[in-house]
Amino acid sequence: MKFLRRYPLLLPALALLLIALAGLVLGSRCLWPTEFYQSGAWHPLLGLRLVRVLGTIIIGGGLAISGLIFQAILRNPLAEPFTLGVSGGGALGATLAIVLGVRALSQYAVPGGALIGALLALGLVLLVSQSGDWSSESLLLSGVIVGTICASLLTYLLSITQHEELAGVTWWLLGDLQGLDLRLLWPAAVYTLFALLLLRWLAGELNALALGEEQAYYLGVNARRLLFLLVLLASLLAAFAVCLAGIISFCGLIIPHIVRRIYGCDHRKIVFTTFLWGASFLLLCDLLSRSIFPAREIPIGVLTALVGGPIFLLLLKRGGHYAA
Amino acid sequence: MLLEARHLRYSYRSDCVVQDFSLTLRPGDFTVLLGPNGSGKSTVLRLLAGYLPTQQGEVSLDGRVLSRLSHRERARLIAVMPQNHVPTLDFTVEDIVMLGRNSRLPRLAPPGPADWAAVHSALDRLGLRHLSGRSCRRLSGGERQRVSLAAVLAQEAQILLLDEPCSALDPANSLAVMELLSTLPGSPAILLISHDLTSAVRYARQVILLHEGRTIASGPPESALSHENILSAYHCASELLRDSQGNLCLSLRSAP
Repeated sequence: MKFLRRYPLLLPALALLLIALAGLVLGSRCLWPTEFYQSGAWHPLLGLRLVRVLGTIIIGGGLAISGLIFQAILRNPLAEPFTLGVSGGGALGATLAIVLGVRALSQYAVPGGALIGALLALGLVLLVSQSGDWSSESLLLSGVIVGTICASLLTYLLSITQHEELAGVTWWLLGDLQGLDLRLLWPAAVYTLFALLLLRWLAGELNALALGEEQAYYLGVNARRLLFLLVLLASLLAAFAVCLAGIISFCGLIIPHIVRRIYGCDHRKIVFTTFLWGASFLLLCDLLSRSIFPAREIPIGVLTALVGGPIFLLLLKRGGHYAA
Repeated sequence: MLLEARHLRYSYRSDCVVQDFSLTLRPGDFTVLLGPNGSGKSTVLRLLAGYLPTQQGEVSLDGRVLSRLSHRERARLIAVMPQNHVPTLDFTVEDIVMLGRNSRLPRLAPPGPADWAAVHSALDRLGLRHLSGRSCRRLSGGERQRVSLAAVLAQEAQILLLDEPCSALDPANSLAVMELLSTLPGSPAILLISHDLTSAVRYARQVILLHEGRTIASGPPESALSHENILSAYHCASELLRDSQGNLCLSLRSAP
């Protein structure tokens, strides 16, 4: 544990590298590194897998740091990237795009619908919680209410959806990394990098904010402004993830918990580590999802729960708190 | 460093909780703010710290209006210990005390030798060094309160505003903390909220007695804590006595 804390980036970086390499090699057909470049050309499968691996890194890492932010600012261990209704809004937007048949008009209809839905939900949450000065309590309450309204509308839409469309919606709701598009990945990658660096810049203030807004104020932090900024930062990360790959649960909930248990709570030390572990975790789940039954992938959302759940329970049972 | 408050008034909606409150805190001052529950003590502290905006009146530091200072600058000058609370995340004792250095830490570089020295000194003063790696959530209420105070000391501010810093402490620790505060190097100005009249009489150079948001007495404890004032604020009979070592103490009993 002491070694891990002294070199917090070493193990997750190594894990990410190895799992990413495995992600390029393994799949429905094994592609050995010697086959990557042959007869003066890159293997066509390599490009597809590279996009998937890069996308998974961006989504996994982004969801993990989004969860890290939400758990700290809402001071709620159950908070996760979708606590403020971003997933509900995104799911509603994407489902509308599928049900209304807009998907047939453009390949970007579903991700576009998801992004618009997620941003509208976030906007509504911020608007409603404005009367409570965007305090963590008012944000949490408005987020839960907006999420519940979206979930009810989504359930209604599903109840009137035709059978052939239902499969597409269900697959999307469980997370889907198969259709990642490089043109959509670029803005997400740029934003995620920006968010990561900004979060590292603000990490000391995030530590103070995790004690509560009043305490943070006494420690020299403009708590209200920081809270608003971090909510936007984290929600946009979640919105990009929803737009790219649907709703991938669990990653943003358990990775921050696991990282804090191993490395401590000082956000100055765990921002990059959380990103790397989130990316590694989702890559591992993706690798399993397409390797267990190569003919038919298991939805990524199912795998994140099946892999992450037992790891988390094990950590809880071992009570891996901070050994001095 | 001079903290001045003039004619502060604060209401929560139509409920006026602080009326016409004035105060001057000079270096080395040790002022205890007393008053029954709900008399507006914590609201006064929040106004003095700038957390609540003044609705009437003004708080200034060396003649500069407090609200015009940057957040980091204000935190370097005024350290505040709010009432005891439990952090949600599993911060260690050392993490929490280092948070006292937040306004002095560079954003990207790790804490420097001066920061570690301040943290270790604060931990040592409060006898917490052996708990430095322990999760704050696993501490007792009294230990957590001492950790909060250590964070305030690590802040190295010239004005300390402390809201009931001894409320969860046993008598020995309470005494040790009051001794520590009254002998702090650098002569910071201290304003301390307390319900302990005996220690207020013993350690304070000035007391302010609040009742229903108004100052009903202020000055040296011997004069401010008169029988009439105590009766008026707490509805208790009282008597100021001197013990065998010449220390002042206050005896309270139910009013007849």
